[in-house]
Amino acid sequence: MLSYIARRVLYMVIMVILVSFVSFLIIELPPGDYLTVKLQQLQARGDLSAQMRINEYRARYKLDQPILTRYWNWITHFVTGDFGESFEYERPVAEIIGQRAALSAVLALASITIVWCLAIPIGVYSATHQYSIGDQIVTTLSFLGLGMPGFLLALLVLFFAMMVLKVEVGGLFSRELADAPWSWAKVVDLLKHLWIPALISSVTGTAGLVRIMRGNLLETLGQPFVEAARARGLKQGKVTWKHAVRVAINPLIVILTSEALPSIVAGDALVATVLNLPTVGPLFVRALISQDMFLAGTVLVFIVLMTMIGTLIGDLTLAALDPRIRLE
Amino acid sequence: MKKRMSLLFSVLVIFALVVTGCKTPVPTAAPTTQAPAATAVPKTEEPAVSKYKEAPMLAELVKAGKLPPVEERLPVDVQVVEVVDSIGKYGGTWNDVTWWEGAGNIKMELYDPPVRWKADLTGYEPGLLIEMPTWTDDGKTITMRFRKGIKWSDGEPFTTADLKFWWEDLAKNEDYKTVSVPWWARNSDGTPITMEFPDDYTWVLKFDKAQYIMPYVLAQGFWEWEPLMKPAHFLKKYHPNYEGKKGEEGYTELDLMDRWFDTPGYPCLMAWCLKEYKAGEYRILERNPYYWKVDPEGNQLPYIDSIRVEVVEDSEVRLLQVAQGRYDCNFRYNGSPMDIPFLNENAEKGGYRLVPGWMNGAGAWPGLIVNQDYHKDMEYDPAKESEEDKEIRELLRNHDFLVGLSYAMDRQRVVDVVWGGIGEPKNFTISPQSPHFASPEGKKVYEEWANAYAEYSPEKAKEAFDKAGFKDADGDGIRDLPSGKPFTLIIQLNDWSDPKINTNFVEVYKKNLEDVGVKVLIDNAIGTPDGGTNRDNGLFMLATTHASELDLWTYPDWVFPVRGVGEGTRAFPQQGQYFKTGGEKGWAPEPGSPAALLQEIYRKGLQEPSEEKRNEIVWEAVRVYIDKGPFIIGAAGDQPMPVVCKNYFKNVPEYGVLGPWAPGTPGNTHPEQYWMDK
Repeated sequence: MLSYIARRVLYMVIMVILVSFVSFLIIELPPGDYLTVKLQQLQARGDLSAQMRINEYRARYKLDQPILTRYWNWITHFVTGDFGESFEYERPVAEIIGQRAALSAVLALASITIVWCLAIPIGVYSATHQYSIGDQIVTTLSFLGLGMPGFLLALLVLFFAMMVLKVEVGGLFSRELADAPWSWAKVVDLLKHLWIPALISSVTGTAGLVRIMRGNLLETLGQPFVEAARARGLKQGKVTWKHAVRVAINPLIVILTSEALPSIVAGDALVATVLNLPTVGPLFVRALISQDMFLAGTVLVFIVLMTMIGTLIGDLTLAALDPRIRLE
Repeated sequence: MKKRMSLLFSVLVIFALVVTGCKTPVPTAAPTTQAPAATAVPKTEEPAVSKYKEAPMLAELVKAGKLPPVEERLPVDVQVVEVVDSIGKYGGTWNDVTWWEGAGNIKMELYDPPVRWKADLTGYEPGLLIEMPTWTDDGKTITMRFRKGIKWSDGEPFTTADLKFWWEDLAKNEDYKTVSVPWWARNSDGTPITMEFPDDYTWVLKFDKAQYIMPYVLAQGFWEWEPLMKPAHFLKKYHPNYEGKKGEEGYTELDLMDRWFDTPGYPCLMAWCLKEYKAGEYRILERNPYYWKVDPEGNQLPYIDSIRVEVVEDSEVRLLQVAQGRYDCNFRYNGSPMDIPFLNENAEKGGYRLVPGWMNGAGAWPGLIVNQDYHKDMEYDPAKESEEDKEIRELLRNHDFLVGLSYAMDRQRVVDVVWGGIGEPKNFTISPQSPHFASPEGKKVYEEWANAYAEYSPEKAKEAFDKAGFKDADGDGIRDLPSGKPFTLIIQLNDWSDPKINTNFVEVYKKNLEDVGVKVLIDNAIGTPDGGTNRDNGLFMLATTHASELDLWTYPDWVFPVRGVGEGTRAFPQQGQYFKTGGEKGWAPEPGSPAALLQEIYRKGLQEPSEEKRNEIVWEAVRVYIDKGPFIIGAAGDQPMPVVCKNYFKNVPEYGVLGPWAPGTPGNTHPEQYWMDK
């Protein structure tokens, strides 16, 4: 048991090192570097001196060093908790990610909770009432939810909220409270703003899970042990919830652990960009576009780390919950 | 059972690991805020009546003894700023928005260089200087005199010692790599010029040849004066040569602190200085208690207490928020003239107005650069170049071919279809508002330039193409090279200023060209770095562009081929490179060729001390564009720009140019005299 975990953790370390190196290389692959992008922006508005000062910038961002040197410096400092400095924000990466990590986590946990509380009962309903009117409605809605990109829905909701409901949108706080320290008023304000991202992620996130839950449960409901339970006179509700759902839910646990954990680091970045949420997701997208190496690399390493930890937890949880599963 | 328990236990252990492992670093301590003044202020003696008045928030600090009185804070040489409409009331926070971390659009509102653009953009006036710079007769020595008694925002005097520190300890210091000698501070052989600081307020620059342009360079945008604005007393605390840590470590720390727009508490000379910065979210700037300007009634400026700038990355969301009236006044939310109808529709609900008179300053938007130095390979080797490529280059340089390209363009259709009726159909020029064309005679030159070959006439286009030998040789209805080889005109479509506009424009123009028998291929380089690389290196035939510039002597790029590869050269990348490198790299212009003529005119202009005569020299260059060009073909221009200010936001003038950033708008209109009546 413990040796199994130890082995997995060892693989994880090797994997993270490999991924960090490969991702560093991939970010570096496109022609040019952060400065190419920056200079093009500056050039477009006629900042000639920026081009003349290119060597100053190169020195500031240490882009005058070879890639291996830069990687080595970054990764050796990374272990000590110094993730380097972001080019674009000119601030330590740890500071930038740090100030956003908590909100990212709150947002991700809130939407996961909503999605799961909705998806499982709806999925179960839809499977047990296969082809009923209710099932047809749920199916239609979930295909709609699956098909609609989150950022488009976000734009529509924003427009509706702004033009029809006339409420302030964008961000997670009102302007007056954004700079203020935490207080009860700020929490209330956060909740007032939270409904839009929560609504969007529940629409887009629930749909997929409903379909999976429905499919799995349908399969399980047709199995002999369900038949047997029913034949012994157990109540329908008990058969469904105590016997069938417990078996059918396994894939959802894997999804929960392996997808939810990384989403805490960088959830739906596009939706967050549209909604102007101060979370890590939009930061990551921008960093990738502008080749802001250390910021992008750090977020990527954390996503990988979370994915692997999530998978490990998923495996262990499954083994704990389902006696048929062995770790070896 | 036991096994399952242990499994569950290990799950818990992992969870605990995760939770502690991703413990977020605590955000750095909030910047110190000024302690609120005591509420019960003991009755003090009647203060001496001062001829200057100050903001209530500063008056309180003075009463509490935290700040010297206003007349001690103001310099000897106070600058009196005329207000646009009315004397303002103090107070308020100006809420504003930006789309990027650097927030250069906000820096433009803080524009305060030694020499500055006049509010009406007709020329330059002294800012931090007490008078315009003076030259010795040979033009080699420039003397600038600063206003006496100006102080940094922390109360330390601003003197030439600060400039000396910048020059000797930062710029010329080889160990400190992030500040270097600026391009304008070099002699003709590249060595740094000589600078002298005879007293606290006098700055003398000595060049090895006449230099009449340099002081105006400092007036361009925020980026030319910004690197010189170094509070020596503050930076010496981190500089290895003074109190800082020694060696590399010290320079790293100095570099971290030496960012006036990121480091709260960095002393500044502007109306508002940085108070709080949360990366990726917002900045708060607060009034400079030592600001050196007053209004005509002696009220110390600025009127507005602070500026809060938030970052909103998505352009659609920004537009919605602007339309909702979320911001007090916004000059550059990176909007487009296309937003104007939508913003007008929501003006009443949002409680704002669109300030009239604010233009883009576009001489061509969109336009097409015709590459006069066309070639195919990055490593150009004349021996290996094919005859066909040479012929294409000759064609692209042919005056009649260029005229044909211009006549073939249906500019009215571009205005109607691409712009929805906004702007004027016109050929390429620099900004219509440029001071070069302010005089009546200048206006005539401008009109001629804007209207040359601007009429839509497929007939004239065909005629011109025929004259250039660009005819249909094989009878398939498509024009071929003079040698008879088939030819496809490739138009690079890029994201210079506005990809949407460029895309629609290129579609219209493609159709126009096909009507006169030209085969066209659109090379879509939107969103790729290739666009910029190929353009800089001259590896294109035609490329979309947005042209706007007010002063050709500080930014010659649009007209004079004097910039090197990678520096924003327009129609003459290689011949510009030749000029820039003094003949080391690039292609030598042939005698009498347009590039040679333009370079000659440019040299002449640099040696001309009179501003008026320099304008006339620009007109000579325009003549070359008309007679030998057009090297850039403009489709439309002079579009207005949306400036969205709340109805209570006062003293915003109704004239300005937002396209080029060089004139420092709206900073040139003295935002310190803006105020909010609410």
